Amino acid sequence: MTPLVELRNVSKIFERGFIRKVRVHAVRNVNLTIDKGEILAVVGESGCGKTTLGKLIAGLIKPTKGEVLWLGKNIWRMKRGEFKKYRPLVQLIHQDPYASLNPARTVLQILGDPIRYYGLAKSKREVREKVIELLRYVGLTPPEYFLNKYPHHLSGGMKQRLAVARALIPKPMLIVADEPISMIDMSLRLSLLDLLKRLHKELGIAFVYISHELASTRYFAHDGKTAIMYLGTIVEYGPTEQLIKNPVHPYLRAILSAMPVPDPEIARRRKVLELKSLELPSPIKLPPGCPFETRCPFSRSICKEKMPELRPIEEDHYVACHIAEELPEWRPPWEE
Amino acid sequence: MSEENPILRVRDLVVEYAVREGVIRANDHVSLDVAKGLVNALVGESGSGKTTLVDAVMGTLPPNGYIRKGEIYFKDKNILKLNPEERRKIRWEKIAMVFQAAQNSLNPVMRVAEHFIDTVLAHKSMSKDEILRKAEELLKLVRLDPEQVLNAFPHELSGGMKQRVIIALSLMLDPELLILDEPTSALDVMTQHYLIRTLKEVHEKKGITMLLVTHDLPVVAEIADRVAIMYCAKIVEVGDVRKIFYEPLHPYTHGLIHSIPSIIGDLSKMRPIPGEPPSLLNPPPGCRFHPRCPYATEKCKKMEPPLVEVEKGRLVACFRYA
Repeated sequence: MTPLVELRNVSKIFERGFIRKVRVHAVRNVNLTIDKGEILAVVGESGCGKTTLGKLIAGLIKPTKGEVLWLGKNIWRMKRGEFKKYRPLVQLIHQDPYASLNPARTVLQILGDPIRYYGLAKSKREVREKVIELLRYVGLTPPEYFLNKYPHHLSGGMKQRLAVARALIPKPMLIVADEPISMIDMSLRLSLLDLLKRLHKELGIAFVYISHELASTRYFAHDGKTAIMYLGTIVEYGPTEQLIKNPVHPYLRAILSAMPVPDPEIARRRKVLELKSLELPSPIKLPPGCPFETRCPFSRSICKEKMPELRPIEEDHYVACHIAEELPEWRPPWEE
Repeated sequence: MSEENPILRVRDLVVEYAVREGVIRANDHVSLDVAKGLVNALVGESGSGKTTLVDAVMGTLPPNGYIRKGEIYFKDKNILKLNPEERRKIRWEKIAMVFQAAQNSLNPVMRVAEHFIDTVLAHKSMSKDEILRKAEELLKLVRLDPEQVLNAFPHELSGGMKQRVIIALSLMLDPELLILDEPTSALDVMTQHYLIRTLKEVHEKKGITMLLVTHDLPVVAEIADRVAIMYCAKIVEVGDVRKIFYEPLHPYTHGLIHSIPSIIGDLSKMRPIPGEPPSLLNPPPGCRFHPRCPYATEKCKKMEPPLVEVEKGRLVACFRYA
């Protein structure tokens, strides 16, 4: 089966500076596929290139090297008409619902305009009916109450639901959600993730879920796959639950062991994998070997010399580490 | 937090803001004890009034905010009755505060050493050598290399390092209480972990009382001794950290703890709290949690449950318990 999206050796380099050019390697040589109706989570710390990767997947920025394929076709070689058909099939949900909605438009306008644009309703009444149906579907009820509200009348959680409703209008096949819950209240986070899960289940929409932490990733991408990013490369990739139960890469082990857990006893007794250094190397001057070598407690001489490639370690589970087989056995730090 | 010897006692505090749409009551008869020598956590979502409470203590309310009623005692002094100069002295010498996103509060054109000198000289007369010697000691305590850091400009340091500098800076005048507002938000997992560890070490070595204001329950589980939960301008539950996490009493606390995604535990037991937090402009009558509460009765819709002590050191505002 042709995957929905495929990235082949994709790199993105940003150039900064006018007199002396500085090259920032945001994404380096990434290969991945997303099947129809699949969930892929991309996890990494700030500056690892996860947002850039999301934009590459969504076809918003052009890769410096490599190809991005949509149903087998290179999106940057598509004819104008083809691209126009592809474009609405990928939608984005941004981190900041306060910035992604026009403050001068009402809810009815925010949702009604794209409905008209895509020719999905003929009369005013029909637009209104469609908007009401959408609001009800994303849990903004009673819908009539919301129609004439402006974004500033809504809480962060409601705004994010509105952004979800808007993303649904062109009937997308893929939604790229970049940290969708990081700016909303904690008691509302799970219900927003439940809403996104429902879109996945009921409408068969594929998701790329971008996050800086593994807890919400586990909740949302439980049945899907996760890619761990570090300094622009994927260092580990596989089914989400397997990565959390049986992490291999020392970076993934470190962040798993340091994740705060909502349990006082476990939080106090677990042992965190100590790193050699806290500081991340600059993406301008990358180390020649393994990008994690400067912080890895297990590093050896080969790690300084050669960049490890992402390779299978068991079925469906890939790791970019020279010494993956020789690492000590993983014992969850929260187990006694 | 009814400890034998609270260092800070807030009594029946009412704080309001005048806004175009009317009056927002952000602290509605709030009483809270901060236990001496412990790590106290004040937990609430945005708009629950936790930052207002801290602003009232520090005297940093915005111009449209005012204290309508109540007392705030630091040890035995009602600090609301002090004159501005006395208040200022308490503010940085006895109670220090690390603000949210504090890493951005360093002056970009001043070297780190100058920040230490300026801060101390604003309150005390001390020689520069003495100040720098003390700064070195504190920077070591927060695990920074004093030589490297003191001569650096803020932009030369990472976010996590700046956060540590601010904590060292806040300890320069030997405060008795350190208030930290969302110290871990916007930090990466590893940076956050090392910061929590630093705070633990500072607490152990200096015996300083801490008040951590946060929405991040996993961080609370890791560091706090005592926890107070705030919802919609009111304190709804207070207790020891283990009691709060293992035997939450208030339905809101219970809902909150079960709505946090985690890398451990059973996914099927995680479930969201239904509904939305109410607006402070128009809070629901009776118990403010009743529209979202699975146990709400007619009484809850009409009467406000008082915060009562149900066992020693354990307070809850819910009709199921009183």
